[in-house]
This record gives sequence, structure tokens and C-alpha cells, in this order.
Amino acid sequence: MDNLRRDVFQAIADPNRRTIISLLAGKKLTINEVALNFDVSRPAVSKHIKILSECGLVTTTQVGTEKFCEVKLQKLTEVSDWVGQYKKYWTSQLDSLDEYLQKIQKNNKKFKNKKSKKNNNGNNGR
Amino acid sequence: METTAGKEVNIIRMFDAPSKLVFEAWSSSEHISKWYVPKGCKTTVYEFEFKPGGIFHHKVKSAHGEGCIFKGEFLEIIENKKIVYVLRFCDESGNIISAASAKMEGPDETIVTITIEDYEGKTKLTLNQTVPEEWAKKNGSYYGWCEILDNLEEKIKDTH
Repeated sequence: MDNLRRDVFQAIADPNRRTIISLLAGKKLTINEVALNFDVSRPAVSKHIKILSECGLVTTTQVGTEKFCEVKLQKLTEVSDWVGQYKKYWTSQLDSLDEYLQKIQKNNKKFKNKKSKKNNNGNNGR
Repeated sequence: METTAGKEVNIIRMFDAPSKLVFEAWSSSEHISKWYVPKGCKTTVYEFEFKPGGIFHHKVKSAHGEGCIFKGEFLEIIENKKIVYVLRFCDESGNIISAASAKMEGPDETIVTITIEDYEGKTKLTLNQTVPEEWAKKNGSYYGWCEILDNLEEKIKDTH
């Protein structure tokens, strides 16, 4: 989950890729059609689209001789789901609390046992 | 993968420990610095004043080295029962910043409510984290209901 999150954010960190995503919002385009919007070469645009498809933000489908690109915005909302992220955070934290509470109680028991042994030894010989 | 588009985190956990001890674990910086950290992370507590209005300033650093500094403020504390604090992000100098500036997702400000209750010999802890507007709505109506129920109880007493 963490890897996916890093990849998506790296993917959209690039302004060209953000432009590609907005071009594809609501309509499918061929790679050629996408490339028309850029000054950079078609192979460069193709590379950007590859990065976007690797993290699931864009899917490409071959139709005849053309490759159509489609954006999957669902992926963006899935990953920027702060509630899910925080839930993981708190769950892990509460796991730590659980362990800590068990540790304290164990140590308290040990301490009590030591104390009562000491008292018993003190009472011996009376 | 969860896709909660909601505005709340709700977690319920059972702890095999007395409620007093569970509450104690939340109540001092000595305890907090030992457990208030997700696995694989490290927490540094800069300031911890366990009282309404008190500051809870701490840094959580993950294994990858990415860190996040929180400045919390306690809103409500009921001994052995409830802890409410607001969480905000801050920079290295302690100035409040937005979530985006802290490179974090989500709201700039959230309110965390911890409720502790005895339950069948163990302790039930409920953690709720929500945006301030939602918390206000809920708490407004909660107190409203309490009043209504109190009044109802009075009425019933009177008629008997």
C-alpha cells in the first residue's frame, strides 16, 4: 500500500503527467492525440504514459493500430484516502499500547512478588 | 483496499488491563513516549501538558526517515474516562502549518476523542478522529440528547 502511494505521488509530481491526466479526464485519447498537446517528442509522452499506467492511474488499450489511454481517477481517491491512512496509523499505535500495558502489568507482578518475598524473609526467625 | 470517503476514523479496541491503567498510559509524557508510536516509528515528545488547554507537541518519524511534527491541544479530560484533543501540524520551529505543507494528506485539523470504559473485566477503548465541523455537530446533538433524556427521567419520576 505504501509503495503504491509513493508511486502515485511520484507519478503526479511531474507537471507533464498532471497535464496528461487532465487531458484524459472524461475522454479516451490515443497516445498520438495526447502527444499533440505537448512540445516534447512522442516517445517522451509515451514514457510519461507508461509511468502513469505502471501505478494504475492510466490504462492503455490497443484498438486496431491505435493505443487508447484512459485515466482511472478512482486510484487517486483510493490513495489519498486520509481516513484509511490514519486508521492504519492508530491501529499500529494501539498495538503498541497493548504491548506496553502487558509489559507494565508483568513488571508490576514481578515487583509485587519480589516485595512479598522480602517481607517473608524479614519475618523468618521470629 | 478500503475506500472510505468519509470524514471519520472509528476504532474500538479491547485491552486486557484495568481502565485506570489504560488511562494512566495516556496521561504522562513518560508513558506516552514509550508507546505512542506506530510500529517501526519513533516518537519524540517535546511538550506534554495533560490538562485542558495543555499542549501535546511531538514528532513521529518513520523508518524511512520521513517525519511529521504534530502540535496537539487537549480540549477535554475526564479522569479514567475520556480524553479529547485537537491535532494540528507544525514545522520545525513549532509554527502551525497546513497538512499540505507538512506533506500529509487529510484535513489541517482533526479532533481525536478517546473513550475508556470497563467492559466485562477488560477495558474498551474507542478512538474517534474527525474534522472539527463533524465533531461539533455530533457533540452538539449529544449534549442535546442528554438534556432531553434527563428531562424525560425527571418527568417519569414526577408521575410516579
